[in-house]
Amino acid sequence: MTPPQLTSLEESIRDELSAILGKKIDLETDAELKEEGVDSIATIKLIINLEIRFGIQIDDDDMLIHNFSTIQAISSLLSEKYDVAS
Amino acid sequence: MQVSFDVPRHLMDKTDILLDRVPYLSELILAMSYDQDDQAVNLTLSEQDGDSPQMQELRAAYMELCSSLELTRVIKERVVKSNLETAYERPAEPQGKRAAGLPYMEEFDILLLHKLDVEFTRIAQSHGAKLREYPSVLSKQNMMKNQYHLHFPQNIFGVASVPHNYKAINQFRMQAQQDAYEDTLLFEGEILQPCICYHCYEELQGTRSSEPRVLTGKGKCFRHEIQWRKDNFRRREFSMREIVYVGKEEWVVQMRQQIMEEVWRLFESFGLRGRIATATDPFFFSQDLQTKAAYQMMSNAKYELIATTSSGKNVSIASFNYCQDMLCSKYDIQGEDGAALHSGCVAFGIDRWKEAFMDRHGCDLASWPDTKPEKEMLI
Repeated sequence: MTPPQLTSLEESIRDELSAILGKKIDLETDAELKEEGVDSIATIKLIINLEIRFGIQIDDDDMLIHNFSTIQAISSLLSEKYDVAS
Repeated sequence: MQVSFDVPRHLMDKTDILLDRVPYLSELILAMSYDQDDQAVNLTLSEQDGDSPQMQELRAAYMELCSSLELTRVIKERVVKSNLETAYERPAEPQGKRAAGLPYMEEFDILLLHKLDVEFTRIAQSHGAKLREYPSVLSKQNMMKNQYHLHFPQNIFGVASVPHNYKAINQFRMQAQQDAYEDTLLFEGEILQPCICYHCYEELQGTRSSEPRVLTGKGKCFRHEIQWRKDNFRRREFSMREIVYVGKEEWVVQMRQQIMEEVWRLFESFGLRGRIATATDPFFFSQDLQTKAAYQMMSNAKYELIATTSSGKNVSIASFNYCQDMLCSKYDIQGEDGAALHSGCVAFGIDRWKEAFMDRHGCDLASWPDTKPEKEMLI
């Protein structure tokens, strides 16, 4: 089965993850990131890198682990709340 | 002498974090205050020479600290319970309030500590906790597992001894006769326990069970607090009870929630005021603040019960922790399926509860809720 096409935002998130983990990430968008070795340090790095990349500041109220648990969850947060183009 | 250090503009929203760490920059520091108008940290120092090597070292350390905190992300606390907004009739000045700073406990303190611990133990046992008593010292092997000393080195008290060696014993005596025995003591890595829970993990180390397990222990704990910051709430030696729960993820999360609800009810039954909010451990290094502390806030890994005293001081008197599978992985505690179990702990700073109770009620056990028979027995 052909995997669903990633949006450009989902691709950006995957690229950032690959850079942080130092290996190519080829995940389903709904796969749990912690199962793929994305630990606390990597999660925080990802948030900082996404803030820099998209010129945004994520609110404290959105700094919840479930918002960053999958590529899909991150993509939804960034596009719906921070108007990052998907 | 007095010196003032400017707080850099990029740290204006992180002054709490900065001020928590400044006292650890040098033993020259005798007191500290923060001038909000001038945005400066004012220090009273034992040093008189502003150009001495120690002063240069202090200035360099301050700059380095400020620089290291630049990237730290401060996530504001989420309050999950509070009675600070409810109508509050300020009580009359409690009877029998005492001056701060007594270096020992009097009978009333001891009775109150005991009564408080009876309540904490009751909560623990209602969840099936087994009672434990552990040594006051953590072995080096245990420290290597829990890594507390890597994250909170500022709190460490080590245990030194005279080596069992004829020459060394003589050497110690000779030095002691000249009031200078310090260098003849041997330190082999044993640490006075800063908390109880690591003993519980050590006890369960290497076990395989899918049955949930709950342990509770009480003991004296030791943290190397800065001399001039010590008060009735911040002591170098204090009593702590911990409840440690190990099991499957969902059960552990539920257990923490249940105990938190019960402790909040107990807190309110004493007429105390405060809140329960997300919190982080007092990581010393900025790298840990940037990652572990931020992640703790994001994952609600730690809640603290913060009592507000009559003078408006906020003091953490209990914490409710969820450690995911981190500590069980380190101590090789697995379920029958071979996966590391999850765990958490609830910690009661018993002396701080005592101080909060006395701040509200003074030395008067008549305010103890619904405990007439026991009160008569104690008095």
